[in-house]
Amino acid sequence: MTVQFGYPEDREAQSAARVRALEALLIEKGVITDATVDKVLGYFEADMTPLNGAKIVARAWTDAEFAERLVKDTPAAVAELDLPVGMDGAEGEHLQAVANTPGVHNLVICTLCSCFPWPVLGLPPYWYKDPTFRARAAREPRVVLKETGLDLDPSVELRVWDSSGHSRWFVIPQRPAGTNGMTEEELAALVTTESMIGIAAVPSPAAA
Amino acid sequence: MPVYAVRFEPTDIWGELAEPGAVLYGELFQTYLTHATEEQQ
Repeated sequence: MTVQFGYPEDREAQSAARVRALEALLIEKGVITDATVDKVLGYFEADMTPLNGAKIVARAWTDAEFAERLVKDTPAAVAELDLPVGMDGAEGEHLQAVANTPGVHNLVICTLCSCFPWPVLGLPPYWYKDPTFRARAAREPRVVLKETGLDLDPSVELRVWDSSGHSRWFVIPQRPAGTNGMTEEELAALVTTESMIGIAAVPSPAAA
Repeated sequence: MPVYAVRFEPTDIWGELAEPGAVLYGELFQTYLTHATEEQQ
């Protein structure tokens, strides 16, 4: 991300202090135990991560019929893969994939707050929740993408999907050049969170 | 309740400030929708 979407260096510390205070209060009130937060964090660190989305994208790149099913009925297609239990819960009840093509680029935002497909992309990055990003990405998405390094050709239609409390969108980026013969695992390693939001493309491994 | 992904043309939202070449899909619950009049159709 560019410095435009940067945050104060002590933002993490400030957030951590608030979390500690809130956690202590909830434990004191008997709402949670001292193990609750660690359990939830562990779930997001081990199960709900962008690695799930990367595996889904890699399968779509190597299996055209799966890619078709993924767009048509995303939850059913995702359920075909060996992903962690609970993919259809906790913000994943209405997953919807949209596919980039040479003529169409998709960008996922949430103008209201930070709606995000947790089960496939993990927790949203800070910049995704930034009020300036949310507003500008809706009104001038092509300019924002250019600022973040993705200069779309004018002939490409840019579709901006405003997430809501109902549907959770994610992008199937285009498979980069120079990846013929790569395994699904190797392909998955190329896929980034940013590319599945649509703020970036997946670079060719030759360019790395 | 059904939810519809409605395609908006940028000029319908932003007017002359709209950026060309992009469209916005917003989700609307059915309760927020009304039938179009014959004139609107």
